[in-house]
Amino acid sequence: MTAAPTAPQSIMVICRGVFIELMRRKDIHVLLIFMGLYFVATTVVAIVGIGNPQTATFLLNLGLTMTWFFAHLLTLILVSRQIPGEIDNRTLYPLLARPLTRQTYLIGKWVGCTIAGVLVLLTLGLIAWLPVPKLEEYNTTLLLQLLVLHVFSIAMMCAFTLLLSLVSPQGITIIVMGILLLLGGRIIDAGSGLLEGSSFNGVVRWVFQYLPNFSDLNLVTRYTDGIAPLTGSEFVGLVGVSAIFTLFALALAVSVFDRKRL
Amino acid sequence: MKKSSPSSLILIAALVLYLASPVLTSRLEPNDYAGGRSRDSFDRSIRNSSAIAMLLGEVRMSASDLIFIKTERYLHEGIAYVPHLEREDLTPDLSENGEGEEDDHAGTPTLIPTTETDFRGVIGVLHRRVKPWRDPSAAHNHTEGTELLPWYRLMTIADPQYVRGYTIGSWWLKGIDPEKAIEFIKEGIENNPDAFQVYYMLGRIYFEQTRELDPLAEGLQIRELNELARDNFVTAARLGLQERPDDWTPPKTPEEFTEEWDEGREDDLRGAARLGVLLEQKYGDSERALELAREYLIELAPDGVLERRIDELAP
Amino acid sequence: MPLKLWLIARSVLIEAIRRREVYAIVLVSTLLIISIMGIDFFGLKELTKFYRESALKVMSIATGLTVVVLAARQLPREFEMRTIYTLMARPISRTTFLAGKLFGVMLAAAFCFLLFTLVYLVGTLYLGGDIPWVLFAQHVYLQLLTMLILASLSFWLSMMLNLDAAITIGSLFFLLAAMFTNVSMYIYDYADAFGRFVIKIGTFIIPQLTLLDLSERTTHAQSWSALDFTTMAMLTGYALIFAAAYFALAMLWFRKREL
Repeated sequence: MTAAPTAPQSIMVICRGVFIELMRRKDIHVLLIFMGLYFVATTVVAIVGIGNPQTATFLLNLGLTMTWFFAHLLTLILVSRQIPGEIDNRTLYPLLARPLTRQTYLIGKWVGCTIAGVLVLLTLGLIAWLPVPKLEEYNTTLLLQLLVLHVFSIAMMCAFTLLLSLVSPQGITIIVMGILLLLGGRIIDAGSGLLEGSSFNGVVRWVFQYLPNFSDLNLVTRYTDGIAPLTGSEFVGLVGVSAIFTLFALALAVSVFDRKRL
Repeated sequence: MKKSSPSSLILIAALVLYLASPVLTSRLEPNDYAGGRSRDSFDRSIRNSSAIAMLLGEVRMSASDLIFIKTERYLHEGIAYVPHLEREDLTPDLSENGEGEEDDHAGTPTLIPTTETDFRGVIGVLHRRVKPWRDPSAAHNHTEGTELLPWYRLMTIADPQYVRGYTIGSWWLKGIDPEKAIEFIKEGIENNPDAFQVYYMLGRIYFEQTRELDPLAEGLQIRELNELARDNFVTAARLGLQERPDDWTPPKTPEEFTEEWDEGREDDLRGAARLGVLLEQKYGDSERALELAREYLIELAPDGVLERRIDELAP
Repeated sequence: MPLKLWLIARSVLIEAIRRREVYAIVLVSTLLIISIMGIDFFGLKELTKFYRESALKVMSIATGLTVVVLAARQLPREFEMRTIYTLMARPISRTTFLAGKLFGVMLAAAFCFLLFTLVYLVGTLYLGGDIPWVLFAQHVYLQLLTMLILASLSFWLSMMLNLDAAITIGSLFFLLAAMFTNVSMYIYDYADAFGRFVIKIGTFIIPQLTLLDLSERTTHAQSWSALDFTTMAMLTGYALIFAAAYFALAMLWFRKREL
């Protein structure tokens, strides 16, 4: 008789499932399309030439920002169909018939998608970063901070998308998370200033802070602007906040999924 | 009594942390910093005139770059020319004597090529008909910059450290509603208390307001406005001299200016110093005016205007 | 045949209207347009260029992405749900089937545009701006031609690639169209003889969607008049050639696909 798999083993199995699904559905094609786009861009730049340090910095900023956006977008698309897809295709039931808790299943999905997202981030990031000549000064510590925060940002995106995918159709999940990704920071800023001057302003400001702020975890422009790295406390604070948001979304998703009638 | 499961306990702990998180998030603003290459006017001008920028059309990542493109397009009725506008085109009468320069920039190429240089045949013909386009040899028709105001407003909301958004935006706004312009530039000062150019612009707006008034009937008001202008010019000159690199010497040609201290900054600093001294002389204390002129000249020499003031004021 | 075509088109339209995603896109875009309209620009109401430009951009991007997603989903969905077999058992030719699908997607695009146009017109009038009626009508017409190209291209892509890849390529093609035109114009001078040949071929065989975009002209309407009849006819012909070519390619792949 074989012993029941432990939770980490089950998570690894689910995680592997995410990757097999990724290859089977040819999602890798989308990544290849983006890589092709970067390749075309690099070729065009090589033909036209960069010319001056300012343009090199501009290209670096553009490439890294695109990487940040594409990595989040691909992760969002991947995560948004994980559980609804398994429910539609009825592949979820045999999985849950195994000695596997729903909690483990969900965490496995989150780990798998986060790893996939980080791999996309690193692949596109390298293609964007390597070919651009570094003609101005950029801070290496800040680059490392940027990388770590992008990883946390992807993990947060996965957790919130998983949560939303349990309660809304895929299209709505993509639209809502897409808006939060692109405009979350602006919405928080604009919302926080809604009742400027009023006694309720503090409350409104507080409430808007509950939205996940992906733009605060994106330090690309700070990096290409040649600004100093974040202080230790600022960096730890950002890591801590994204970890709290991720943990909360994941715990809530587990709770919703536990109660969901399948 | 029913026992709580570990996942419920984790959820409660996560919820408590999440509810308390604004304590941290409200203190974290990693992208709220002053300066930086993306906002620098010298850098911006170079990167937006590059071949890569032409290829990208209107795709830009920074607020400063986007407003640069919009300004070029809006002032030319939507026609996409190779970037060529200078600071003087954006703030037409921002020179010490208040007289603007007019230059039609005829000959600046358009991004859509002419029939003679276009390889695309019929596609090129359609492109020129569909988009706002005029032959580049024709004189440029500059429109009112006031339609750009929404862009400046939006950009300063998106990036409150974008100083030029405040200075140029308030300059356009001054022509329509000076009170609103003062309100806008004061918001710029609040968000950028160390940026000398916002004080200089506020001083200019007060100073310009005096021109609209009748010296005989509204003398008191003119005096008050000039005193306000003077205070802002003096503050601007003090902050500008602090910001200007210590070993900086004026280059011989505009092309030799660097990112560290560009032509626009130098002009604004000299403008603030000259007008600060002039208004102190007229509406304040002559001795203090002399003291200021000498202090400024140590850093800004050679400066004919300041030297003339010293000659006038010296006993 | 027209009845069959209409029945297929109607089912696509009903499905599109029933799907919450389309409403979500329209709702979000409308909210975006209304919020642009609602921003207080120093209490100055007559500044409408910014509103016009932003609203036209939102309208175009939202409709374009809706069309790409909707069109790319049509055929794979029929195969996945196996509804294609029931349909093909009826006396409907594949051409009628595909044309009906295309017509349906175009009706959905027109529905989206109609909603946005109402919001746009109300917004412009509320802000006190003038509406260049002829130019605006030309803009909407040319945008619908863009949607026709996008829909037929998406049909073809969805028959060749998996759904996500089809949507990604369709969206990138739409969003980067203007940049492609810029790049080909600019790097032509840098290229050698072979490079120039490739750029020339690319310029003619890839639809230049920027030719069908009158948004800049509409934004700066006080300086530019409506297009003349010849230009509009040329643009219509240009768009129809590409739409027909992509439709034929989609048809070819659809025929090759085993049921």
